[in-house]
Amino acid sequence: MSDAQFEEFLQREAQAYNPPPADVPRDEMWETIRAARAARSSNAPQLATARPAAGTPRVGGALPVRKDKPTLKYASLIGMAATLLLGIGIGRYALQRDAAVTELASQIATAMNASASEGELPATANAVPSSSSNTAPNETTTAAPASIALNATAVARPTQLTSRSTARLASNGGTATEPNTAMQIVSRDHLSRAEALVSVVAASPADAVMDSLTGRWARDMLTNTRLLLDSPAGDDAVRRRLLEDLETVLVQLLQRTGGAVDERALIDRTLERTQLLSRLRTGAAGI
Amino acid sequence: MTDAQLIAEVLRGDPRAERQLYDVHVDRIYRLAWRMAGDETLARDFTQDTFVRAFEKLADFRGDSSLSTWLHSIATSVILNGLKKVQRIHGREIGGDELPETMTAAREAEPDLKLRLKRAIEGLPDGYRTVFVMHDVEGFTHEEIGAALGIQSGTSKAQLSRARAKLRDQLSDFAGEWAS
Repeated sequence: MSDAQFEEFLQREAQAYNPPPADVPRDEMWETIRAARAARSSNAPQLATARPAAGTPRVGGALPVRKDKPTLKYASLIGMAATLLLGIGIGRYALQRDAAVTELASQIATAMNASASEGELPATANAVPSSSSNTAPNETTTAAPASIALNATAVARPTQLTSRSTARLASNGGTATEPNTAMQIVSRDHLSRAEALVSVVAASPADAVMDSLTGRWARDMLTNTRLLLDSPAGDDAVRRRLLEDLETVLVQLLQRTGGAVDERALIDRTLERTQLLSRLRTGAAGI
Repeated sequence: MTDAQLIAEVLRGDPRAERQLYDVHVDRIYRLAWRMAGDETLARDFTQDTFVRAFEKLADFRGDSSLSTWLHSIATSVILNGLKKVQRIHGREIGGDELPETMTAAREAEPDLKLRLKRAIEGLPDGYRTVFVMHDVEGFTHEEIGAALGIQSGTSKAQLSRARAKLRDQLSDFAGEWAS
């Protein structure tokens, strides 16, 4: 059978592939578009000046007149402010609680980085400062960013650790199984933070616009989730599924534009379907 | 009214111009969304999202391409990203080894050639399927496809060729029926 015959067949039959209906629901879609745009513009205070004068009739596509509903606007702002404060509070709490964890993780990170460039390290790099290995949790005043620890997991998996680096860990008071322990600690730390973020998102009003702080928090969380998925932490099937569901929600959260209610509904559906919040809670506690 | 005039009117806040812009382009975008998604709800969602984003970004439209091409570049992005999300969610809900028939190329014998063709198209990689649907089903030119997908028209031709080859391979056991 020739190419020409096959192409002729495709031309003839491909038209039956997912045939759209003859009637396009123009008006229904237009109403939804208008509503979505109105919802977004109501969350953008700078557009408020573009409102038509009182009494001006609404014409298709115009921004809705909200002159008699100022309380809604303030309620939204108050909600956003409350969400921000809650987020900061939870974030600080998480940072304080996990300072010791971060310290241990950064210690592992140092060892992993050293093993990645084995043979090229100066002698001083062979040992993690002894002070850090003996630092008690409440002595840690500045917590290293968790991303540093997670980045390290991408640089070198524990299975790639050489005997030399393992010995280096042991010389610091660690054992050969310490990388796995550290990975568990880092995972638990990450899931705790994720739980805090998801709680903030779930508690925020449906039309709330994500503030820049929460956005940055979510972006960092997404980066670290992907790093964890590529690390040995992702080898565990249950944890991997949890991280993948978390990743989905974070992507949905970051791709949400403005205060789009329908996109927020998608996030809520995913949260409900995956039971992510409760799984994060048990996941963080169970590791 | 030219594209430039229409855009100027929309940017001035004329609601009739907004509706006119929508009316001119909605059918083709909706059809493409329907073809790609095969589902009314998704087709609506993708179309609506395309126009919401388009109106949002219209001030950034520089006129390097036609308005239609620009809108279709938004539409293809919305559709492909949306379908990825849907596939991902479907994959989670029913497990990786239980993908629905429409999401995998059928391996079992299928007496109906049209169904086999549909399944074979569904089984194409996203890039190939998009080019195939746009060109062979919806009649876009390679130049339009290239501009919408941000690829060279030559790349579009190459992907179409590979898509057809894959389909031909998938339907090889029906070779006797093509010409009938």
